[in-house]
Amino acid sequence: MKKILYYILATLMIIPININAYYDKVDDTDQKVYDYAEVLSKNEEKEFQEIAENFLDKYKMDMVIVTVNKGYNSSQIEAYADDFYDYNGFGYGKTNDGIIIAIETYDMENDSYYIAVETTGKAIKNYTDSEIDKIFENLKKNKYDGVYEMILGFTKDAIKYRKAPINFLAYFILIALPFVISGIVLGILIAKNRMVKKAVTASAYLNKDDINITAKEDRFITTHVTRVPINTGSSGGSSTHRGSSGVSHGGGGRHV
Amino acid sequence: MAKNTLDHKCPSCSATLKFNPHGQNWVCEYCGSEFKLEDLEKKTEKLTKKTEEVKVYKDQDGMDVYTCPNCGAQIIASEEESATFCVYCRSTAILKNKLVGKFNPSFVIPFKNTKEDAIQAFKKIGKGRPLMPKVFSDPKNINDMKGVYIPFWIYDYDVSGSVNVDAKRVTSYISGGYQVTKTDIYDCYRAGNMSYTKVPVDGSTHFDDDIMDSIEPFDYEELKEFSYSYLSGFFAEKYDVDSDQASERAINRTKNSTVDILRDDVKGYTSATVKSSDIDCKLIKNDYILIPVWMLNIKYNDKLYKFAMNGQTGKMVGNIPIDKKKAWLYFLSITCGSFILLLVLFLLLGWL
Repeated sequence: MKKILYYILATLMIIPININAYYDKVDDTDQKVYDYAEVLSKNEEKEFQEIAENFLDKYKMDMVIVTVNKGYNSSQIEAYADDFYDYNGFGYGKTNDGIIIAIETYDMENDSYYIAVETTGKAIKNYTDSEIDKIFENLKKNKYDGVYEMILGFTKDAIKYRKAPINFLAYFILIALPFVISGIVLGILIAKNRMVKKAVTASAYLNKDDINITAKEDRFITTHVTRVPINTGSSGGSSTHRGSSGVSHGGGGRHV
Repeated sequence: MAKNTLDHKCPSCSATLKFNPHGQNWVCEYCGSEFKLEDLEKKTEKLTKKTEEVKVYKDQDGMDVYTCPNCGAQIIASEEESATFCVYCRSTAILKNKLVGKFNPSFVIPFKNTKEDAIQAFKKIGKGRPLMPKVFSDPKNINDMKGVYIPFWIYDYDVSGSVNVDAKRVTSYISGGYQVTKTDIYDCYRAGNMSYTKVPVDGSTHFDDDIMDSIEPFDYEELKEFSYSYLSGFFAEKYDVDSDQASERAINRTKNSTVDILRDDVKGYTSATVKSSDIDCKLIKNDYILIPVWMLNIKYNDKLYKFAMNGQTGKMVGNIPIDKKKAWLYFLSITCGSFILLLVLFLLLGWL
């Protein structure tokens, strides 16, 4: 009996808690600011909407801002943020690149917030774990006065800590290719100055109508086979998790 | 030992006649008369009688010395020269006795382009060759262009032979997470026969074989029965590499081409490498001919650079040295230029 109970418990545990995750459905993903907790003024919402639009324009990634008052803890707000982002279809490009901040405000009276900052697609590499830590540190340390300042601080940090992944290949090409190009051009120019070449064949004097092939024999000797395993790519320096939708996210949820 | 020089006197005014490459005839520079080969040959007998016999002898250093029939100057000709000019009056002198017996060419390809054509052709050599040093376009250097009939041997061969070829067929596919490369190896044998006509070899050690190779091909359709008259107005050499010695190069070239033909018959493989070959060249015919070449030597950094233009087709060859300063300038400016272009492109694409 105890065993059966154990199995049931185990089964329950591998089913994600948020299997029937509740998320707020939105109609238009062009709207980037969702103040469900109603802690922002209309003007403040408008200001953040503009910031998010500029961010999208400039960095080709979405910035979504959500406030809720549902009594979520750190992991719940994280799951909520993931689902809100995934199921509503936010994100730029094929990989749905973007960053979302979700703030649980039920305990704001005590200056206590549960915040999730989640990254998706290319944004996962733009904000590695250490950048996410810095963003959270500022949210904690600076003791922002209220949600508005907190979000404002976040939008600034999102730009400040955005790590453009260094395109080593592009730098390598930039340095090497000019030398290759001028090397090739110079090689051609030098070759042009060499017009003298010893003749080793007499093909120009061959009577082309007078070629008789009298014997042909192709004998099979052996076969060699080589097998090389095909490499699969490896990933970089951000820890990721999967939301209920199955999409990978970087970042996390914390109590601030 | 008395030797004769012969130059062509104009039957009308007795001035020196020169071969005119454009008209393929002989023009008198003084009275403007023009003659065809037949006209000249008809008059040759009379002409020869008229021409004074001049003593040509070896001096104490063994050099050939002759007396210019035009101005009486004592002229030294090198051993191999068979047609030359008087250094004082520029009269042509054909040292006929040097082209008799085994040194009598069977055929000649007459010059088709003039010194002026050759100079013009050389002036264009710098086009598309920006690394050429300046001295090579200096008119002062180009005017030394010299028209020379160069001795060549030509050979006809019947060739039979066989090759053993190591042939590989490589196929590549993906199977179960592996890139599989399969190489089938075959041993192929080909035998055949073919023939070659008029394979040319430079018969003079004075001219670099590779330069002479590079002015090929010649249009043998214009091969003429040899006549001394064609030499008038040009330098000419006689061979100093005999037929047997020169034939080694012709045979090598013929063998290489035959191997290529037989190997190319091995089709349908990724690669075909000749392992061994057995080629037999049977000499059918060989001839001694004179080939027209415009020669030019230019000195640069204490080194002599040789140029040659095919006097029949106008093909100009020679190795031009690289002006190191210009080369560095090009290298740096192309590197910097393409770096800036790439930088702008990459920034626009947002790759940096």
